[in-house]
Amino acid sequence: MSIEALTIERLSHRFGISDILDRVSLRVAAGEVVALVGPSGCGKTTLLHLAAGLLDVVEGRIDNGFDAHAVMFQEPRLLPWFSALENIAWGLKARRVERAERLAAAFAIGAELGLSDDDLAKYPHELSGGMRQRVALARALAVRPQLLLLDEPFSALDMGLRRELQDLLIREIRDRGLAVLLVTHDLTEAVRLSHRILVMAAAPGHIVHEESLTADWLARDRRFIFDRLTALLAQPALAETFRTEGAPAW
Amino acid sequence: MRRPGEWLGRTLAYLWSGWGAVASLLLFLALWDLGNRLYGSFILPSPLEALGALGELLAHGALQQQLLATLFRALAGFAIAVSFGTLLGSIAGLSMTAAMAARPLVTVLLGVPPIAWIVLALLWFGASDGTPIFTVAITTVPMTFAAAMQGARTLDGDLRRMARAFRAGPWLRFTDVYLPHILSYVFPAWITALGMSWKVVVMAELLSTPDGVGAGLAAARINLDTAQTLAWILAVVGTLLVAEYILLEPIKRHLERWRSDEH
Repeated sequence: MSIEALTIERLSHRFGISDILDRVSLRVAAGEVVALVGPSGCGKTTLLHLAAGLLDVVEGRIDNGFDAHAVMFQEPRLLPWFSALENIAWGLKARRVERAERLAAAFAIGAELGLSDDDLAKYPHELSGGMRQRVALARALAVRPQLLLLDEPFSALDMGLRRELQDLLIREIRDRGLAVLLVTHDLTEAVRLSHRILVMAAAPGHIVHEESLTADWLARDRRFIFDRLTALLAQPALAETFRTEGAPAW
Repeated sequence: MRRPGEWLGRTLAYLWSGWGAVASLLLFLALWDLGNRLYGSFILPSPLEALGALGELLAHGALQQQLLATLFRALAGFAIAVSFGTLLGSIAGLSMTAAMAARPLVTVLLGVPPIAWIVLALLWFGASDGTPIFTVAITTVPMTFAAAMQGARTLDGDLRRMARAFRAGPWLRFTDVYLPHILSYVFPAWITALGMSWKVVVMAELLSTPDGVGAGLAAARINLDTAQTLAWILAVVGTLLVAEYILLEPIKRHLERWRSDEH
């Protein structure tokens, strides 16, 4: 019997001769949002791909106790030859859900995320970047995951759109009680969304700092985010980590 | 969401391009007729005479019969090229080594002139259906092979990982991720190959078979009947145009609805 949690223990990984991850341990419990932040090249995306089963675990252990998980990438990665609706339904198609049933489910979730009938009939190239990412989010949610693995999901969008999609995501996380592992280099995003922030440093990737945020999402206004960001950046480990990237991403 | 002005502009441009095509065809007919007036009906019969000869062939039933024989051979060779070329090309494209080994082979095969294949085919198959079918297949296989290989080589790794992340089975990955992409590469090559098949089959028939459009052309040559020769040419070109614009172009548009306008 497995418990509903994603448990990663002493996970190491290397590509060729370069060490990417060095004995990383973390845990995402049911309904918990955990953000992994760090400079580019710190191995956070590799960690996510390992957790998603896109890479094989060589050293260490990943125990995914959730029944279903879904992945969302930085790019929407929609199938260009299918309409938005068919794209949303595609994850269900992979699970052999009947056509009528999966299209109905896709329709409902598309509407929930603010996609009109008109948008759902369009092909990906006819949609704007924000709309495409909504479709990708809908596709991930359509498989009714208990765990969402998000790889910099909104970083290709401009500030306004990013906020809008973050709000949508928060609503879905709350309504569905989702567990989320979020990889981002945007500290603001991490502070807005997560219960815990794990800060990683590079070469090889390891966790250098952990920060808990207990405030309800509704209470996270500009003031809260600003204060938390300032506090975070005052941490020596964090200042060190983010100095390597030049200016902080926020 | 397009502005009406833009839509109107596009429509006008399309109509204008249509008029351009008609005008250039009429100019071609006028030059043809001028040639007839300069050199006489023996060298170059007028367009009307050629149409008359075509009508005669049609009335005899010879045209339909020979076209059908030719069509069968062209399509048989084309079908072989499409199935083998596409399948093998896709497989070759998935392996870097196979692709590198296949590339010079394709160049060599494409470099052999069709007439050389016809001579070889005559030696191997004699005056049977085998000669035109083989010639068509061997001249068009490299085209479909190369296009399918290119399609398979450019499969999007991001989409592949997405499909794996959603735990799509191998069959679904093939039908929904790989196949549409490869088709978008292969379909234009099929159209080119079909045009090529139609030309090569006539040439092979001219030298090898007792029936078909090529044989009709050979007979017209022996009888020094230039009008009938032109009539056969009109039939060949007309069939190709009909196949391309009535059949293939709509299929292509349907298959590629998802492509952006800029492509």
